Amino acid sequence: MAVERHVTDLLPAYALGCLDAEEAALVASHLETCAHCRADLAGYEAVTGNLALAAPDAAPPAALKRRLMARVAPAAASRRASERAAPAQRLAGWLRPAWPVLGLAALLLIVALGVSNLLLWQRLNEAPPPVGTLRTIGLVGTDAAPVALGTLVVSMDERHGVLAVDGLPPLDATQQYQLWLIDQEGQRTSGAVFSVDEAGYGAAIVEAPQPIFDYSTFGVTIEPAGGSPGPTGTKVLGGEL
Amino acid sequence: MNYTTLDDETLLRLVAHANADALSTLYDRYCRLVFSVALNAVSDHPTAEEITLDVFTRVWERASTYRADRATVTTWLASIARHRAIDVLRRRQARPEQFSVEWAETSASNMPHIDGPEEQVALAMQQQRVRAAMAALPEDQKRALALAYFQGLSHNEIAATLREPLGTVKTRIRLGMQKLRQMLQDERFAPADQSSRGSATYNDLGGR
Ligand SMILES: [Zn+2]
Repeated sequence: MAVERHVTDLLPAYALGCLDAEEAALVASHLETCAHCRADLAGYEAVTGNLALAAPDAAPPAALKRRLMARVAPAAASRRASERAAPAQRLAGWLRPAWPVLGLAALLLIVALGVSNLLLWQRLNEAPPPVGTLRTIGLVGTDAAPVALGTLVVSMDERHGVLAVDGLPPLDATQQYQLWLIDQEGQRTSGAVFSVDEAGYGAAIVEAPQPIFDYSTFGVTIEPAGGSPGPTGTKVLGGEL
Repeated sequence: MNYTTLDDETLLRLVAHANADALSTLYDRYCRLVFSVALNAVSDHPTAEEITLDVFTRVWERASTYRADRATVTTWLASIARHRAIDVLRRRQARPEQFSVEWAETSASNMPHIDGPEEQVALAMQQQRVRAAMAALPEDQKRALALAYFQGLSHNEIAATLREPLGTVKTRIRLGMQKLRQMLQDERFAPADQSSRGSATYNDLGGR
């Protein structure tokens, strides 16, 4: 059987999108089996991707930005609120099948499964599943870490939990994050000291001297490596019951 | 919080979390690019404004679909703008302004205003590079590329518009793209009074 011919000469036009349908289909089917042509195409796609930069300069009127911002403003507030409620709900949905037997062992399993998978799943843009009976506490980023989100999953005995965070800035070796459990009197107790990876993901087992739901407020601060007796650094995440 | 120092990907991530300030910053950074692509395609201001509004509304709604491993934010936005403009043109059917599509003139006065994070500086330099490469092409190749890029015309449509033989048009497109590719790649090794940033730019802007 003869080797199919490469489509080298058609690739520039394919990358630009100006082949007729028949030729484009021919190229597409060849590309499926030919890594050589796929690599060649990538070079032309880079050119196409750059062509916008050679468009003659023009600027839209200032009023256009006002229209855009007016269009998104109402959505901003409500969408942020639902986004922020979502991680805990999604986590609950994800774990629901496991819930009847969920104890500390299951919480450890979450960590073993890989917290990045868990958080990856959290980020999926699907409708929130119905909330199960799993108890979680959501933490949201402060201005110092606006994209950060955290979820504290609480074990049945309430003395243990797993904290999973996403979107925290990576720290250098001299610093770590520390979770604080804050009671009604404002007394701060350390819940965990942890680090995050380059992508801002992290997880920690939380141990609490009192039942976690006895605390009213939760916060994460930046502290010297190993943690501090009490919070001293910038607060990056916060949440309340 | 000062958003202007954040890089594009971070801004987009914030937009995905419904942060309107991040959208505002992204708009300030890229509204001219998006509007320029749209205006050059459709040739009238009101339509170009609507397309620009559409593009950024789509960014607001679909920021989470952006994949950094596929394209830079610049390339992504430009591609949305281009396809949106071509959609509008196809719906219009008649395209009265076929010959108005052009490429930027290169001159020192076109040097974009540079500030902000490093990638903005790299983008401005890349813009200069792309324009210089485009300026080096023969006029007939530039015109064929402009009709294909901005108006989404096929080989056949370009041939009909320019009243040139189909084979001639095909050759112009192919040679134009090949030369641009070569020039943009060569410039990775160009003497860089613009420091090491320059060497990374080509890849940063869609070479991956
Ligand atoms: Zn091939």
